[in-house]
Amino acid sequence: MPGVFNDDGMVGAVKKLVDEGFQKSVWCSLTAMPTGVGFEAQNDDEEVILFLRSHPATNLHWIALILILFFIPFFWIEFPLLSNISSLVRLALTVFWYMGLAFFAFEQLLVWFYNVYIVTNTRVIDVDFYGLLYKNVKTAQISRIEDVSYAQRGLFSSFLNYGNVTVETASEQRADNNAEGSGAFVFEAVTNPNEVVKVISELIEREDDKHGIKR
Amino acid sequence: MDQLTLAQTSLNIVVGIAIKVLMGMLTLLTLIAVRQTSLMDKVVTVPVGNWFKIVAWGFFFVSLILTIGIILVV
Repeated sequence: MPGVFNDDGMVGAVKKLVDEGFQKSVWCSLTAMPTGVGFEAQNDDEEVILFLRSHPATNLHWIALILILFFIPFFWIEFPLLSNISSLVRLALTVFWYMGLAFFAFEQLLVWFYNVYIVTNTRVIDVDFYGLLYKNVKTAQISRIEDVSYAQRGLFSSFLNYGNVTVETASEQRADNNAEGSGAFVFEAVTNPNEVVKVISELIEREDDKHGIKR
Repeated sequence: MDQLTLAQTSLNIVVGIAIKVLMGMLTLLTLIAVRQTSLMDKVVTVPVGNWFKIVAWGFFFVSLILTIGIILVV
């Protein structure tokens, strides 16, 4: 078992997640102690404790949109303009439609899959991809985290147990007390936000004990 | 009658050209997706990263073949 369980400050919350079966697959929205997962600029002694992404339910809007758009070519003939074009051109249009739809689905899947939040034994990392052309990677040392909290809003998030985890670092608190507005670390719509907060809190405590810091 | 046929022919040409251009743009986008997939895999390494790369390349080639087909046939 990796080092995070071995030393004195064993992270019990992580062990609980592993025991509950949150170690299965990187496709899950919450994976504890994942195997074969790494990131750019990972230090040699750094191990990934939690690997998170938004809950699969957050994809429902684009899946529903695709399902609706999928059936539109069935009604090409009902559109006055399209009913007048030749069947060959209509076939080409249908091919383009489904290729575009498949590309949209693939792009959405990619963005969901790679928009991840990583908690290691020393840092938290927030990797954001917006579309295909923009990425934003933020990191913060565990020792610099001042506060960690979570919020569950709405019927879906309560029912499916997901929510936003907000991680505030010292510099962000100085900049603005409204963490979400100031661009603090917000792990959006992650599964089991209470467990994630527990893990990060235990890591903070461990780090504080290591450095003899009292809060 | 002749005017209607002429209008239909013009519509076919206009829609045909539009589809060719759009397919070309889609192929370009899939090429960007191929590049982006490998960049994403570099930023976050996951066991299924290679699978995404293969799908992206497959998507690009299918899109390229279909674009060429549409340009030649339509």
